[in-house]
Amino acid sequence: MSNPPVIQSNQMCSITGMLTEGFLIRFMSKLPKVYLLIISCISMLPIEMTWADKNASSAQKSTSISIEHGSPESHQHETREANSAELLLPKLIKSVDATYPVQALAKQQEAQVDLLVTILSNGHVGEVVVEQSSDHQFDQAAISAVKQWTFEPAFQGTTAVDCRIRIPFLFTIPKEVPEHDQRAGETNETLSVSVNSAPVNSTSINKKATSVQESKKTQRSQSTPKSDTGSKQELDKDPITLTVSGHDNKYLLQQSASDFYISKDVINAAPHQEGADLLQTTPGLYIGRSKGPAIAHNYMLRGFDSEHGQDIAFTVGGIPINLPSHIHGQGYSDLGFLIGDVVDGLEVIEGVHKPEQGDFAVAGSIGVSLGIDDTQDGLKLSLTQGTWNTSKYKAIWSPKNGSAKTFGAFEITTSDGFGQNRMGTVSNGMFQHQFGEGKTKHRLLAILHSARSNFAGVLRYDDVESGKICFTCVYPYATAKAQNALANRLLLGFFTNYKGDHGERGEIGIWLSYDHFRMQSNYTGFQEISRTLEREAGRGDLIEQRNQTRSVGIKSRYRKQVFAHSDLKLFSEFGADGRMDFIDQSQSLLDATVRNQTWDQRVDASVNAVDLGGWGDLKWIFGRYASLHTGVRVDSLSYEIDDRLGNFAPLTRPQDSYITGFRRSALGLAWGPRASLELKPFSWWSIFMSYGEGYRSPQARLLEDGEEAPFSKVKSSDLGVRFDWGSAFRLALGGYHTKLSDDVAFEASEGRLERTGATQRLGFFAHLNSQPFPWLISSLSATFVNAELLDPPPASAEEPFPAFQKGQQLPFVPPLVVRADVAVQHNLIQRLGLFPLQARMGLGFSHLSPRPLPYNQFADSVSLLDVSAGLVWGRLNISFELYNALNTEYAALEYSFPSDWTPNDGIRSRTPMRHRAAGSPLSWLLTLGVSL
Amino acid sequence: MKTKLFYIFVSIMYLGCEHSTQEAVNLPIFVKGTNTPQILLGDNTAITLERADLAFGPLYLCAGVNAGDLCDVARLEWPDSVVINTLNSQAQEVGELQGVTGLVLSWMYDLGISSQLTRNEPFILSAAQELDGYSLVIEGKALVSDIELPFTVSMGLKQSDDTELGVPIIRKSLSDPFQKEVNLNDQNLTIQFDPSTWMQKLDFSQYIKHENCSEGSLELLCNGTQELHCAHGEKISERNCSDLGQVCISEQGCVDQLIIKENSEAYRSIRNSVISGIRPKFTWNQD
Repeated sequence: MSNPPVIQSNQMCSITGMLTEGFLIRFMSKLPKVYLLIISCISMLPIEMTWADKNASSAQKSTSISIEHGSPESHQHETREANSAELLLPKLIKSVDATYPVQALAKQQEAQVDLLVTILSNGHVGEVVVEQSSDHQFDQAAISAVKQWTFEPAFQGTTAVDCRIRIPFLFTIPKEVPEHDQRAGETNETLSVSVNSAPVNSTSINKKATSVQESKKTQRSQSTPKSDTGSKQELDKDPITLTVSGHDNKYLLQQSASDFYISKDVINAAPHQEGADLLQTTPGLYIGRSKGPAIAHNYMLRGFDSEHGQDIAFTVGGIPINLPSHIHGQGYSDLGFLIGDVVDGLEVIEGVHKPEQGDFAVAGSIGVSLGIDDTQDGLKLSLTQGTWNTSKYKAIWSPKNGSAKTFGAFEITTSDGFGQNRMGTVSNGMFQHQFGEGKTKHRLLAILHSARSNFAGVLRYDDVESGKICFTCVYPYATAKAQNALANRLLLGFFTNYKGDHGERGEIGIWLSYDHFRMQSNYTGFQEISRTLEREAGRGDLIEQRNQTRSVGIKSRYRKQVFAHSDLKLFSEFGADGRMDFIDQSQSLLDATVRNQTWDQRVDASVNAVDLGGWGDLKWIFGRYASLHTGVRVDSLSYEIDDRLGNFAPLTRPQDSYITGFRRSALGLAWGPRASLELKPFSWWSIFMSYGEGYRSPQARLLEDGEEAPFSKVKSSDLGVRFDWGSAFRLALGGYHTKLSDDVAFEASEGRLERTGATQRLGFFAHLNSQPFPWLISSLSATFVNAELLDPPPASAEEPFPAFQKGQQLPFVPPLVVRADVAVQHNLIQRLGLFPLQARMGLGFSHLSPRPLPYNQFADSVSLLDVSAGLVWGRLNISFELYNALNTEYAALEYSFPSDWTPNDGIRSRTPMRHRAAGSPLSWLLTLGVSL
Repeated sequence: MKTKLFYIFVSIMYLGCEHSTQEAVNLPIFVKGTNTPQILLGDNTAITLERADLAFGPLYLCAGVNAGDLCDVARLEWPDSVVINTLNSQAQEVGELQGVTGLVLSWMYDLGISSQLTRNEPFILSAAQELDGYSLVIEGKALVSDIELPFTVSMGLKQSDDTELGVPIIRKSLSDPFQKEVNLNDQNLTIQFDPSTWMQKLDFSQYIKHENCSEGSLELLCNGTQELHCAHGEKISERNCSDLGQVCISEQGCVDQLIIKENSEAYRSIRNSVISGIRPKFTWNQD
C-alpha cells in the first residue's frame, strides 16, 4: 500500500490528550508493557495556534497535558469554530497494548520505537512504517499493537481523508509487579503492567511519561506555528503529545484459570435491563430476578445454587455486600443498587485460592469496580420508556479533567411489570469521589438504594398446565396478591491507597452499611397452622420477613518485595479485615384479608456478630516460567443471639412454665490454606493449578449456646490452562472440584434456607474472550458441572420424607450454563453534519440446561436471547433493546414442594409439585440520551 | 462409533450425571369390595347387605411410620374421591396414584369428606355428594330371632378433632403391617374393603323387642312383629307389622326399615369399625 498523500502538509496540526484508564483497560494485553504515546499528525491547515494556545494554557494546570477525558471531540468542535477551513484530526477510538518482548524483558532491555502510521478514511490502520527502530522484536510488538487500533478518521471539510501520524512506543522495564489486587474497586491512575509477572514500575513510567510530556510541552509552547513549510521532518521534530494512561492490567492479576476479568466492553456488549444484570457476563453464573426488583437476584455459579448470594462474596467499590445471617438467606446480596454506567469491570475469582477471600467465598468472589468511561465525562441524561409502562430516568455525571473514579449517578425506574401484581419502583444513587496526589489517594463512596415492588410469587405447574391460571398471573386470593417487598440500603466507604516508590502497595478503608428489608411472600398457599393462637389455621401462608442490619467494617492490606536475586523474587502481602453486624429480624404469618393481622410468630431475634479475619500471602517468582502463591487465612467469628421466641411453649404444652426466650453466644475459628501455581512455558500459554479452603459462616440463629460456629467449609481445587493472544483471543479451559461440608437449600414452607448436608461438585469450564476485529467484541463461556449431595440429613420421625437424598443431583443447579455476549459497532456515516453516525448492535444469550429439583423433579431448560441496536451521533444517542427476543415462556425460578392453592376444593395435595415464578416475556426498552 | 460417543457425551453434558434415587411414578389405583352374601354375627344374627356404598378419597401414602400431621409431604397421593360399591369384588380403576418411588410406611385417607385448614367445617367432596353428603350408606337385612329386620344407615365420617384440623380421618395404625418400596416396576395398587368387618360388632337384638303394655310403659311398644298401643298400662290396639311388610321398632312402631341414627350404639359401632377397625387391604400389582 502506498502512503497516502500527505495532506497538503503546509501546516502541522496536533492533538494532546490523555486517554484515561477506563478507555485503555479494555485493550490491555496479557503481556504488559509501558508506553507513552505521542501522536503527531500531519495535516494541512493552520490550526496549530488555536490548539497550542489552549494546550499550553491547560498544561499549566496539570502534569498531564491538557486534553482530558473525551476532550478530543470537544477540541474538534473548538477547531471547527476556530477555523472554517475544517480540518479535523483523527481521534483515537480504540487502542491495544503492545506486548513487551519476553526476551527483551529478561535482558532488561528498554527501547523506543517510532512508527509512522497511516489512518485510513475508514478509521482503520493502514500502512505502518518503522521510523525509528530499536530492535526487531520491539518493532514487531509495536506494529502488532498499533494494527489493532481504530480511529475516527481525519476530516477535511465533511470528507474523511487518510492521514499519517507518528506514534512513538516507549518500552521501559518495570520495577515491580502490579499484582496488587485492586478488587476493592480502586485502580491506578497510570498504566502499570508487567511482563510474565515480572515487575513493572509504574512510578518510573509516570516519571518518564511526565518528562516526555513536559519536554514536548516545552517544545510546543516554544514553537512557532509554521505557516506553510510543514515538511514531515519538521513536523516530527515538533510533535504534540498524547499521553495514554491506564491502570493495572487485570488479566495479570489472575492466579488461576478460574480467575476472570470482565472488561467494560464485554459487560456492555449485550443489553441489560438493570445494573446487576451485568453479572450475567460472568462465566458460569446465571442470575434471575424472580420476585421483583426489591428482592435480590438468585445466583447460580458453577454448581452452586447460591440463592441470594450465600456462596459468592460480592464487593462493590471495595465494600462487602453480603449480609450475614439475613432472615431471607445467609449472605443475602441485593445488587439492585448498581447503576450499570458506573461499573468499570468485574473481577471474578471462581473457587477459593486467594487469601483475601473471606466469608461467603465458597463458589467464588465477584468484585465490581466502579469508574466512568471517558465517553461519559460531563453530564449524561437519558430517558427510557418501554413495555408495561416502564420508565427510567437516569443522570450520570463525571467531572471533566477529573479522576475517572469520580462520578455521580442517579436513576429512577418505575414499571407496572409484566402480568399481574408486579408493579415496582427503584431509585438508586451512587456517588464516588477520588482525591489526593502522589503516592496516596483517597476514595469516598456513597450508595443509596430504595426499592419497593409487588410480585406474583410462584405458581403450581399443574395449575398452569391445566389452564387454571395463566403463567404470568397471580393466584386470586388476598394472600397471594399481598406479596411485596421493600428494600433500602445505604453504603458508605472511605478508602486510602498507597503506592510506594519501590513497589509497596497499601490500602486501608472503613465502610458502613445499613440495610432494611421487608418481604411478604406466600409459597405454599394455605397450609400453615398457628402455633401461637388456638385453632388458627388456613389464613394464608403469607410470610412476613423483616431484617435490619447495621454494619461497620474495616479492611487493610500491605505488600512489598522482600527478596530479589536474579530471576528469583519474593513478595509478601498481609491483610486484615473485620466487620461488626447488628441484626434484628423477625418472621410472622399475616392475614392479608384483615389488614395484615399477625396470626403467628415464627422468629423474633437479634444477633450481634463480629468477624475478624487476617491473611498472608507469599508470592515467589521463578523467572518468566513460573510463579507460586502460598498463603493462609484465619477468621474468628463470634455471635450473641437473643432469640426472643426460643424455648417457645406450643399450645400443646400449656403446662410449661417459663418465660419464652433463648439467649446464647458462640464463637468459632475458621482457617484455610490457599495456594496457586502458574507455569508459563510460552508467553501465550499458562498452566494454572490452585487449591484453597474457604468457609461460609453459619446462620447465627441456628447456633446452640457455646457452639463453635460450625462453618460450612469448602475445599476447592482448580486445574486449567489459559491461552492469551492479547485482546484478539483469550481462552481459558479448566476443571474444578469443590467439596462443601454443609450446604443449605431453600425451604419453601419457611421461605428460607435449611441445611442439606455435604455436597461436592466436579466441573469443567471454557471461556473465550475475543476481539478479532476492532468492530467486534465477543465473549463466550460454558460451564458443566456434576453436583451431588453426599450426606443429606437422614429421614426422621418428624421429617420422614426429606427432600434430599444421598447421591442425588444437587437441586436447583443446572449442569450446563452457557453465556454469549457479542457486540458490533461501526460508523454508518463518517460525517453527518458535525459528527459521524455510529451504529451499535449487541446480543446476549443465556442457556441453562434442565435443573434437578427436590423430590426428583426437573426444571425446564431456559434459553434467553436479548438484542439491542443503537445509534450515536455527537452528543445524542438512541438505543432500542429487546429482552427475551424469542418470547420464550420460562421460569425465572423453579422449586418443588407441596402446596395448597385451592383452599375451596376440599382436597389438599401433599405431594411435591413444581412451582414456577414466571420470567419476563418479550419486552422492549427505548432510550434517548444526551451528553452535556 | 465416534458419532455415537459424541451424542453420549453431549447427553451427559446436558443433563448431568443423573443418579437419582427417586423417580416419578403414576400407578393406576383400583378399588374393590368384597362379595359378602351373608354376615353371621356372634349372636346368630345373619346380615345380608344389599348396599354398602363408601365415599373414598383422597388417599395419601407416606414415607414415615406415622401418617397424619407428620405426613405434610406425601410420597404418593390420589387427590380425588369416588363412591365404592363395597359389595362388588370386581376391581374398579378410579384414577392414578401420583408421586415418586421410594419406601412408603403408612397411609391415610378421607371418606369423601375432607377437613381443610381454611375452614372449620370439612368439605363434602363429589363422592360424598353422590351419597347425599354421607361417607357411607349401608342398606341390608338382619335376621334376628327369625325376624327379618331391614335397616339402613348413612354416616358422614369427618375429622372432628380440633387438633387434627386438616388431617385425614383414617390412617394406618402403628400395629398395622404396611411397608412397600415403590419402584418403577410396580403396576398398580388395589385397595379392598370388606364391609362385613364394619358390621361385626352390631347388636340388632336391641331393636327386636318383646314387650307388653304395663304400668309406666311407653305408648308404643313392640312385641316381636306386633305393634302395641298402650294407655294407662292397658293395650288399646295392636297390629302385625309383618302383614304390612314392615318391622316393628321400639318407640317407632311399624316402619319400613330400621334407620340407624347418629349417636345410637349401632351407629357408633359401625363408625368405630370403619375408622379404626380392621383396615382395608392394600395389594400391589394385582393382576
